[in-house]
Amino acid sequence: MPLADAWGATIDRSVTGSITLTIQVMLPTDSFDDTLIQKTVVVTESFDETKPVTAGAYARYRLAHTIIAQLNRRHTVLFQLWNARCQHARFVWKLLSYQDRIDERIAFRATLPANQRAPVTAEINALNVKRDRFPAYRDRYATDAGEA
Amino acid sequence: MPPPVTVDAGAIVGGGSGVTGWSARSTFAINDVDQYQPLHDSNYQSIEINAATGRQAQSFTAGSNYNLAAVVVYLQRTGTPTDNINCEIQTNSGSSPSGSVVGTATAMAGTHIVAAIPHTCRFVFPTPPSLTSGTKYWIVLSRSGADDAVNFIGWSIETSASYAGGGAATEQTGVWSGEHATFDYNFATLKTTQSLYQVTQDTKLHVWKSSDNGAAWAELDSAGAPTVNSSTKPFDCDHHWEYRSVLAGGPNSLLYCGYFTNTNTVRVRGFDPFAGTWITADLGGADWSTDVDFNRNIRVTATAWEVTLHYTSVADDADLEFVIYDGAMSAQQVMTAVTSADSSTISDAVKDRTSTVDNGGTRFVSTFHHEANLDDYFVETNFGTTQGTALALDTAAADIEAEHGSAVYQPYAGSGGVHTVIAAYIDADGSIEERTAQLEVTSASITLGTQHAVGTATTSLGRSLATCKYANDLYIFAGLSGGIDVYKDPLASGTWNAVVNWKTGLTAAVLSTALPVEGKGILVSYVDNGNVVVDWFNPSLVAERPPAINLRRNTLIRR
Repeated sequence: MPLADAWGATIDRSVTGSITLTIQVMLPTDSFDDTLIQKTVVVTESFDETKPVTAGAYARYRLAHTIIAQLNRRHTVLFQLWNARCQHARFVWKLLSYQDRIDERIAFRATLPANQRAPVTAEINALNVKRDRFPAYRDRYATDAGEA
Repeated sequence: MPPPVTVDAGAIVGGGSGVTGWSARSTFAINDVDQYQPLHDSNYQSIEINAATGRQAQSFTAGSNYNLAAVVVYLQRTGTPTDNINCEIQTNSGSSPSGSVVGTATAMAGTHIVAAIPHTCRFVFPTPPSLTSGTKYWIVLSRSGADDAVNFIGWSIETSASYAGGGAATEQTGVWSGEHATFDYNFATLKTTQSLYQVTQDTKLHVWKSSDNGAAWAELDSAGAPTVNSSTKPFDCDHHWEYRSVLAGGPNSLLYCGYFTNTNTVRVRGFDPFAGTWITADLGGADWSTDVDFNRNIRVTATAWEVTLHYTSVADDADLEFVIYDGAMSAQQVMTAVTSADSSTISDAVKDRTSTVDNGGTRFVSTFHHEANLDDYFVETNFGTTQGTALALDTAAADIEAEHGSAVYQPYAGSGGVHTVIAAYIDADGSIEERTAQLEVTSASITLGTQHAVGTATTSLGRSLATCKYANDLYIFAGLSGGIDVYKDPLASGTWNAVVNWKTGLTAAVLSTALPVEGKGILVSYVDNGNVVVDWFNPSLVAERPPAINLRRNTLIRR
């Protein structure tokens, strides 16, 4: 998904190597309180210009994680929504991140003599196994996250 | 020293090694309870403690001769009382407090007591008063400041005549009401003596108690023991004196036990050591997480404010997560989110002095972990769901997931009384290294000691470690497949003595916990040949052991 679809968050890319997401959401006044008020959540993450899609997905995930840290299951509707968004965004990012790592390791393996490639091949295989898990996890939360 | 004692045959406190290795925090020393009135009305009815003319009191009859270490009561705050709550023990006169004080506890700041919801609070007596069996005494609570009907503390009460050894009393304009026939404040009196508790697992969790320094053990409430999903999957426990009233019942000093209820599902169940019974429902009444890797450690930590479960994610075992329960369950909080073919491991999670009500709510749980991507050994705190910035103890720690070690660190009072742990871990070369870590602050501000090599052996690769301080000396216990090694740093000088092969000849050994018990030694729990065993480590064994003498060589020289 495009980063611009960060649940309506304002996205600031004015600083090279950095991304800031700002969003207004309803959050409790404190962790023991059910009273919700509108709060501003700001998340700033480093931004890898060579992998903007992955970097953007990570920032989006971190925004959802910052929000869900302030909610719990007592805030039923908001909790279910943001928990699903957080989990969905996490596995969107995981899928991209592991694919990036696999691509890096494949490129690295190509630079090695044939007799030194086996450990890297094993690592790539392990990364492939993990990557292949994530679509199912991502899709599990897609409907509740409104991303289906 | 008595011989090793088998607490539970056919049970475990840790399992496997390397990628599938784990060990539980399973051994505890808990003050013995004398009198216990655990109830309070379901609506948490509480009585205002006000100025000197409005003190509240509960009488109790000592069940034996003992020194009183602490009193536990249920309190809740209304408004913002800026003065202190005092707790004293008075003798009885007629059916009221006599005014004769036999013990005074350390005062508790009113602002530190939780608002609106009853919270167990522990008043500790710096000089424990000596109580006499069969004699009636009064717990008297008062506020240090002026009368204030807006900002005050309430003490939870039970109205069903549940306690036979005494009753509640209220003072008005300097006159005590006398002992009430049916009303009792919620309270427990704790002795300075301690009993030992050992948690074990087979197809169920089990809690064992010893009141004779570990010589004999008896299981408590076996009928109420919770069933686990698998006898080989991890569990973990923590004990805390204080907690908000999320459970029915009273001063729930609880052992909180995290255990698997399904393949990747963990719940937490409480055990009340005062009553010697399991709580009948899981804390929160729900799954804490369904994303738990059963090959790696789980850790449960309890503070006065919440209970936390740390674990490795099964969706991506490079990630570490935690969930807190503070009356409601949080979402999964991702502590470490990285990309790696390897898995990350939580070695241990520890609370510190900030975990108590009297600290006012600023509390930290410090989680020590091997991170799979960078191969760093990190500590990271969480304060509720607020995460600190991870601090690296070593940027070149164990670099293969099979080498990560589980650990049980026992906090001790370090410089200035600040709770400190000996954070021992497996280094990149497979040997054991350590740094001390001064806790009680967010992880970015933790002060680390110098990094020390403890030994050169690599025999504890992927196995469990346990650390503690005893009588000014630091100890590291290191699990081996067939035994337990011990390292000692006398007077915490930074120099570790040569290894002592304390336990040899064990079968499929897994080290769990090294519990320092003042005046008695270090009680070590471990698995040997599928049995849970405890043994006292004699601290003088290291210092007094003479250099090894090769008799054959000496004999040859004399010839």
